[in-house]
Amino acid sequence: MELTLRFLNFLKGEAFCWSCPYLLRAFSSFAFIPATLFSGCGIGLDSFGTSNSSSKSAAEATGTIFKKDEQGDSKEGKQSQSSPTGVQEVVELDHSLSGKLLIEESERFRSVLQIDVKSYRSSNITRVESMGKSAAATEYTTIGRLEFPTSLDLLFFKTFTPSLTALGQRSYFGQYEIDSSDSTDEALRNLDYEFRSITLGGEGRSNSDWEINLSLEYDELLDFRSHDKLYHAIVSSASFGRDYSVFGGGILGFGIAAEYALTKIHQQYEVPGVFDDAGDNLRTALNLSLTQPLDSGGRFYLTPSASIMRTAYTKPTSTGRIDYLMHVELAAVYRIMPWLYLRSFTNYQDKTANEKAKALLFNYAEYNNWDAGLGLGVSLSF
Amino acid sequence: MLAVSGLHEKNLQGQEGLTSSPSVQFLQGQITLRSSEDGLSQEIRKGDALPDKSRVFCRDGARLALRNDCRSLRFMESATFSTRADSLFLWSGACLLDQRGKKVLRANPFLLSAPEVVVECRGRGSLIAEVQTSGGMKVIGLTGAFKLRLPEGEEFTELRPGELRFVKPYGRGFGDLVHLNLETLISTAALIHEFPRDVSLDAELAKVTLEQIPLVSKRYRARVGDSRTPETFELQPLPVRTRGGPGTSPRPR
Repeated sequence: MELTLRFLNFLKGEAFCWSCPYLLRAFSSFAFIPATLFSGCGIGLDSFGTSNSSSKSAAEATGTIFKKDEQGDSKEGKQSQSSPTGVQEVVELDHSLSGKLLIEESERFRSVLQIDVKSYRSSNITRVESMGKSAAATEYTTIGRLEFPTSLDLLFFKTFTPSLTALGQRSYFGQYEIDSSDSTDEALRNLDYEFRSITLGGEGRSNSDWEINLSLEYDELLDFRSHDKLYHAIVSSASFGRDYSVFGGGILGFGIAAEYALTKIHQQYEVPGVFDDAGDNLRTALNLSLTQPLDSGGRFYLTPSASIMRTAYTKPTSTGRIDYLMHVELAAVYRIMPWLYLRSFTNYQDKTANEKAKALLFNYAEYNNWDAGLGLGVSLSF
Repeated sequence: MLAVSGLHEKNLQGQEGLTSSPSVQFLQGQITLRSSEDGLSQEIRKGDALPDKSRVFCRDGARLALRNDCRSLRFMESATFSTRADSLFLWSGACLLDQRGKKVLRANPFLLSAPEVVVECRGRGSLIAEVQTSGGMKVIGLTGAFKLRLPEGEEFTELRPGELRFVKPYGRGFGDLVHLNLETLISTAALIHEFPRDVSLDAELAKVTLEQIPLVSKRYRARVGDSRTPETFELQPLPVRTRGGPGTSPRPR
């Protein structure tokens, strides 16, 4: 339920941008850039003094080697470490660089396919006020994203990139034990769900480096065993945020989001209050996240994040209900290959609600819950 | 020199008006402009468009960045040049040409000249050019890919990031290809880091630097120097403490 909670009870449709924005951006980069940045990985480097290069070496080129004291008044004598053209150290390469510009990458269609499997333990699987039972969950997520060519200087944006994102997620509960206290009760099968969404969005960056995201999204929740639709929603959202460089290579992200969901419930989900399926609602959120690389190779990241979200129901039966969800997470990501990553995470959720919510949801209005687990993911770009 | 100068003028006339004249985007230090051989020197200011047939002199400590709708140029002290929309005549010193934008594909190829050479630059990217004692020119690819052609030539010579080519004077063509360590070059070239930060250029430079690292099969304790005669260039021993050079990376590759 972890990712879906982000989508539905945390920030719908913004998993790419908010729940682990820089990480996914990093994965996007891993996915987009590997062909260029890491294409040389694995190419054998010859030992000193041997060459596997077919290109003519500088030593073989028509050149004369001058010692420092033989330079006389040559122009090169003026060349220092801060000279206009710098120090031109001669090397040999296995092959020439691609010469592909990053800006050229952004001018074409790009697509990313991300598949993620996650196993975690939830301390309060039914999200009840008095601590409920713990259970293990397995979550399978597939995300496909198509990014359109980036437009430059569009309206008040320096860059604007439209995108189309499709997500499918299936969760299974109580199939196995992670801890001996975990429940494997058959009744937990009723929590199993499938969530689908499709989002048309655009990410704009202003001249002052503020990022503005606009999106329109369709969500639906299904009981995949009976193929019954439980709920669907059309959500329009706007968010803005900014990244700050911190601690050397770290990126601190700050964001504010607002979204309005038009919802229709077909069938009640087993646990009330988990999904925002009780009517149309307005959601606002404040997010803070850090992506901190822990090694120089950019393989190991630490990604703490925190957010607070307010959901106010506007109609029909839940009008006046307000929920607050605080979410704090610490995750570590190790990129095994440019396209393969391992993620460990732990997060804490604390939900509070107003009197109207308590009157409607009783024991389910407020809860707190710990999740902790591991995930393995693949991110491919085309 | 006169012949080259004449060719420069001739080519310029055909391209006039296709793109806007470059204007001053950034300047620092003493930079003067002379509109004619006998004319008086005058100061230039930010936002000024450089008049035709003028020559710009960058004195000690000078930093100058010019920009038009599809290109930007950077100069430092000891550079003397004349420029128009699609051409630069570099009498002395060095410059950084940045034409990464899409618009450049619709513009005329850039004509880069030194006292005894003219080279046509097509493509998107950025490069450094430096006038040599021989009257020729050294061109170093930084980002993107250029196609270089001599005025009389039919064939194009490609210039990719980290590649250095000498353009030999008196129509002798291009010199042999030399690969340079981009990490060392980028971290020491004042034309790159002694100007107001260009985030997109920084990102492109970081990309090529990372891309080159795994491709390096051999490093030399030598750096490329001046070309004082048409057919030769200097290789100098590299100081041990060069940043990013072998001195700081004792493991030879």
